[in-house]
Amino acid sequence: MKRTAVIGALASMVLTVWAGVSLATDESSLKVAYLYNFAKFIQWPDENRTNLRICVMGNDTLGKSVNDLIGKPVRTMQISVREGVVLQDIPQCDLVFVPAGFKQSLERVRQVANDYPIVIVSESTGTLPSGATVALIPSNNRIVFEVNLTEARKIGLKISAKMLQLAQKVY
Amino acid sequence: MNLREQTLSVVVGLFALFPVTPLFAADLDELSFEDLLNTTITTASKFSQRVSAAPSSVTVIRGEEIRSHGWRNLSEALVSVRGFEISRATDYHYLGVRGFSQPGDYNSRILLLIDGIPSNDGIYDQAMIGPDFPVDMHLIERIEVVPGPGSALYGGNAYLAVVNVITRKSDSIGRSVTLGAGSAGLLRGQANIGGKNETGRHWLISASGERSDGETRIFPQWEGIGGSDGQARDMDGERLRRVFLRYGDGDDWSLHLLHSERRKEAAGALYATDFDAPVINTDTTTQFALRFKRMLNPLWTFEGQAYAGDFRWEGLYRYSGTWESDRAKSGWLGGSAQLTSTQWENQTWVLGTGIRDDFRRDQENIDGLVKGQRTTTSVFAQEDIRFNEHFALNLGGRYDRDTLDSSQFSPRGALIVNFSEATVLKLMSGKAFRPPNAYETSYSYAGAQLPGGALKPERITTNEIALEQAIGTNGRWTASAYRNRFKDLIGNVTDFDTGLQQIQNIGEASTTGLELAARYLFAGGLDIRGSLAFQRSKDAAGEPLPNSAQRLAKFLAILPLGTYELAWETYYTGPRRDVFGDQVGGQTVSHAALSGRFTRDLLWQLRVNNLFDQRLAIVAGGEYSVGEAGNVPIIQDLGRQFQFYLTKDF
Repeated sequence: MKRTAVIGALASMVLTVWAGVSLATDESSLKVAYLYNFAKFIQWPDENRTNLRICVMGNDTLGKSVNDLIGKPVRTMQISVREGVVLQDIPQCDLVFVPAGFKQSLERVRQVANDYPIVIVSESTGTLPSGATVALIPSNNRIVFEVNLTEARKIGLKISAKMLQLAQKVY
Repeated sequence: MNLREQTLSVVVGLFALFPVTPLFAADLDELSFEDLLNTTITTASKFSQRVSAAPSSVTVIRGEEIRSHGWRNLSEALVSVRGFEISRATDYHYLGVRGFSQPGDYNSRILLLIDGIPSNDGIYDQAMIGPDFPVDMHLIERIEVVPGPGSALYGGNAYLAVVNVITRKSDSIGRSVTLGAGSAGLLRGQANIGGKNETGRHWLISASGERSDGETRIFPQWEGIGGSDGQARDMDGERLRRVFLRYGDGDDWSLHLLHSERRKEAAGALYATDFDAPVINTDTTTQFALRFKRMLNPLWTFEGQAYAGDFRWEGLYRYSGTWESDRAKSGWLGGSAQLTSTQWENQTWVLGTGIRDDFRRDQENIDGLVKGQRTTTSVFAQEDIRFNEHFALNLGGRYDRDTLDSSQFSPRGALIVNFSEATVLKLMSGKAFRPPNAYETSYSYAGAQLPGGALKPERITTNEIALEQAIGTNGRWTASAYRNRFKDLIGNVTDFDTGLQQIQNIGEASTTGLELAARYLFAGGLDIRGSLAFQRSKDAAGEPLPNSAQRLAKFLAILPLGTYELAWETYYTGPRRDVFGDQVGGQTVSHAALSGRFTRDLLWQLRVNNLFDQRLAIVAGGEYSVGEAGNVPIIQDLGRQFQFYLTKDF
């Protein structure tokens, strides 16, 4: 069995080199990794607490990969995750992921979020939809993102210069 | 290395090529934005089956709606379903489906599932759909309501409808406390705490309690009898307690334990008791369930469940000043296993087997104790065949056999025609059955009721045609026409000579109907749904069934008003007959709920039941008509009631 695993790993290396891809993952894991990075590069006005609450709307939106976020540190806080979040739960979140298939409009999500410092991460195929703070956009088998800085500033969120630099577009 | 090992190594290698979750997770900390921007996607996300592909006319009630409307009972949610009616008698709430609504039937024609686990007890086979529903409404993620025969998958009692209540994921619930107060001395408290750790283990603890004094109920028929003014004062009180515990590991396995107790005073001199004392019912249930699911390989999935339940009922009755008690104890164990396969292209197979042992079926009254036992075993199979993008066929059947000498085969079939992405036509046909319950076969009361004895199961055959049409991406309308034929219906018969009652197979009936329903979510967040139902029913003599409304109309709206939200419900129930065959007029009732926030973590809600304080009639069952007052065709429903809730999140 040991030998098999070694051969398996070798096979994978060979195939990886052959494919010429440095990094590859499934869509959900990539989105989850983005959410973690957004949490690291956005500063909330009320960080004197132990929990940073990341919420995911809809069920099984990001599969099991979302568990990877649980307990991860962000400055002095630890990430807690709530899946299957509905409109009424949004004020209890610091960052909300709204999947593309979500029926309610982002304006409505923003309305429920009021002026509370809540990062709304949407998925979009075009430009940043109004209501969202950050949008994940598929592009050439990769995912890029855009930032709505005006909106973020209005509700007291600080976005690091690095994140703004890497954003496809800043509004 | 043999061929098998070689194959395995290649498979392992392929998995390594696509660094799936665990491998990636280890790198989550180190992966920078730059890395993410350069990462390619290997597999796209999966989406679950759409409602339109289901071989039945499913209605899904979402948890959001439950919370927006402030529904406190399952029956308040179920009445919003097209073709469904609720009769809130003073003892229990009774559910009517598609023109079949027998007051006092203990909802034994509905199968109630909690997270897919059967929760009907083993004596009355009662679906607890009112305040006795053992799970707090706050814990519900969605309710899947499937009208029509469900015996092909679920066996007995899945007769008129299957209601599956799916609870929210532990982590989505978080920590909260709700306190409420309202009319008629209502006080309510609820607390829950749930979470999930990084390995996917999740847990939930929830407890709630409620009390109310109830209203003075008015029974004009009792006016003047024994000096009574026809008003039942302090005879409508209610106490509720519920606990729900859950522990599990993602979708792989989960355990739940629930307990609920309801004590309800019922006014109206039921079963010829004294009018000036209530009948007091106490229903207690404890249920335990284990569910597990395992992907054997990408094409085969195994799902299993094991469950156990205990249900106890005590009724206190006062006859001529003396209290008498009546008791029932039910205990059951059950389990099922099913395999789902997509091995063959364009086909999905489900094969399963189940067993339920109702090892305790004790009923005790002043005449003594009657014991009983019933074990039901079953096998079932279902196949979905997709011929092409337009045609799909769903065929299924289940064979149930019990130790009381009954065996039943329940087939079901559906042809699904997708004219386009947006238009689906479904032709459905199926049979279902309901075994006689222990109360019907064995209960007796000296001088009043004889045991039913050897009763045949009730059977039903349903044919339905439904058209579903999407309205853009945000709406849908459906139209369906159905015909139900009932055979060997079980009912109460009074012997002309002796005056004794006995439960017997009383004959046939049929219902036909047309339902139109629509739902639309507007861009601004306004969510509207409504339905119309036209129903005709006939008993063996060609007369309409009691409490079968000819027309039903329902309108629900959730309207965002800035940071506030208004939820509205209006229900019209058309003319129907009472149990004596006399006409009862149509009626309309509206409820409204307004929600908002005091702070980010403090939510408030005001709900008004029967907003316009309409005088509403409930068609009463025969149990209200056996006292000195004689015929009690209807009971008056509650007037306007206020409820106010505060929810604090932590």
